[in-house]
Amino acid sequence: MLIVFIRGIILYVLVVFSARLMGKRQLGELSPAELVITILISNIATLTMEEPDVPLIMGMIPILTLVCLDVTVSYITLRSRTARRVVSGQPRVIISQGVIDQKAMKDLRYTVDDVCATLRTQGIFDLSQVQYAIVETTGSISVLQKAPNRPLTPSSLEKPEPSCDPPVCLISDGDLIANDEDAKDIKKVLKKKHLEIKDVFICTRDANGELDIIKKSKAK
Amino acid sequence: MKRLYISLFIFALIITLGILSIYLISNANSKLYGEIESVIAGYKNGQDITENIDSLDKAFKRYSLVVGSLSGDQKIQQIEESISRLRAMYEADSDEFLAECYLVKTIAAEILAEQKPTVQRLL
Repeated sequence: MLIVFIRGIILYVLVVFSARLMGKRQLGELSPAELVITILISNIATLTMEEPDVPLIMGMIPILTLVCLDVTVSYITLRSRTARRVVSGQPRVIISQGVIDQKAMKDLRYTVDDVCATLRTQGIFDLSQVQYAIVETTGSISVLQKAPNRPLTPSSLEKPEPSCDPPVCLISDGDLIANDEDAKDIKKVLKKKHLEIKDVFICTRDANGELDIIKKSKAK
Repeated sequence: MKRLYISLFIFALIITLGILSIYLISNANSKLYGEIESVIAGYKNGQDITENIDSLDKAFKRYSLVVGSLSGDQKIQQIEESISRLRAMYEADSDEFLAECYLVKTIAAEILAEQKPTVQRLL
């Protein structure tokens, strides 16, 4: 009994250290890979605590391996957009300009019932009120309502906003993610501002075609 | 970056420990084999091997200290049971004395084989 008790304490310290090293967010914000790792760690820790025949080190090593892999992969995905796409996937638009992308929903295996249920949790009971909806990498759906259905704001009182999709990201952390046509336009604008693509932290284009450029803090 | 460095350090530590464990178990096995071989040789030559069996027992105690923390208890217990039977078998002049000695060697070899990352073990 004492053995199980002491192993429990050691594993508790290890799990807390692991959670600190991973820098866990709230459970609801975990990506699929992070959720799997969290569940795996808890299972391994439980098994090691309950089975005194299993050497403690045989429980600690897989936990530490998973944690270190998670941190290393996080660092790689931070640096590489391709790695991010492979590990976490990418958000997928399912409603744009108020029109449902049925192919996207089929690819994601999302039924109409799933979408309507998610909208209801966000207080939207009419699909026609939705301007834009995107499925995030965590599986949650972010929704933008059409302008007449949005809560009133001081700016919308002065000048009513038209219903349009949110701005599209064209440059992300120095990487160009726009199509060829948009790329040419961006390069022209950046040239006028004496900037290069690698100097830009984020560049978005709204529905009116206006670009919003935020430079990297090191760029002049 | 600090987290990454800590993670890479832990990776290096785990790999080092893994290689070290194979070396330690291999070393411990060699010593145990030596004691078992002296018991077997003495038995085959018809010598009094009571002291050899005691020496084997002591060697196993040192072996279990090293290997016990790296391998499961089950195989260590099997070796312990076999060695504890050896004296009684020798005194009773049992036919299975040598078989028991070779069993100890086999189990010790299995413990070492379990640590090696071969393709068969990984799959």
